[in-house]
Amino acid sequence: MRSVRAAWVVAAAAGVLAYAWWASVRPPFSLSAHLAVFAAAGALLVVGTRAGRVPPASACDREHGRFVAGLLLWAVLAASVVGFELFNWLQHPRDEHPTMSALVNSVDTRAVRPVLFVGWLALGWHLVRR
Amino acid sequence: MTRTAAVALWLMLAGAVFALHLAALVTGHRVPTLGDAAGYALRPRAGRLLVLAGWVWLGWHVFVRSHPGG
Repeated sequence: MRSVRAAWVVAAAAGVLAYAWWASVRPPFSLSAHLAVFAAAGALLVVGTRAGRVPPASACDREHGRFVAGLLLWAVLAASVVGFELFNWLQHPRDEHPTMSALVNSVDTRAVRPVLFVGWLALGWHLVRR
Repeated sequence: MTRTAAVALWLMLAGAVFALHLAALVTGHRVPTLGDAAGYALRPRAGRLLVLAGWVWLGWHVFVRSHPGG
């Protein structure tokens, strides 16, 4: 029974990796690139929602000062990332003001993109089950 | 702002995220991890929609807009 489960896990991982490789090398702005991202996002949202949510750790619900201060710090960091992304996006030339995608382009290879795609899927799975 | 300064600022932001997450793990969630913070943001329906839309946008931004060849 355990070997059957392990085989399913290996097959699923191989399927995700194959899809990530295919999805991450689509031509920019092509229909297939849009389909690859939105189909994966849609499937993950449906499967993740059906799988149910993971209950938060009890320590996470402590409303003490340090925890709330930490939440505020995360909010400031998130706002900084979004703000800096928007700032760079509105400036030119792009080479002097790199957005996240420009940075990804600058270090990009066909070997790295599938890994980034799997990371994006893992982040989505983590978020949708919260 | 030069490219070097912009990249340095991106690295600082990434470092801050990593450091805060690590601090949370080391202190046993007395400070929230990134997942804990996301969990709070995901509680209200509007927050959930916003965070998940942000995730979809990130995928579009990185994998639809950017060039596969590098």
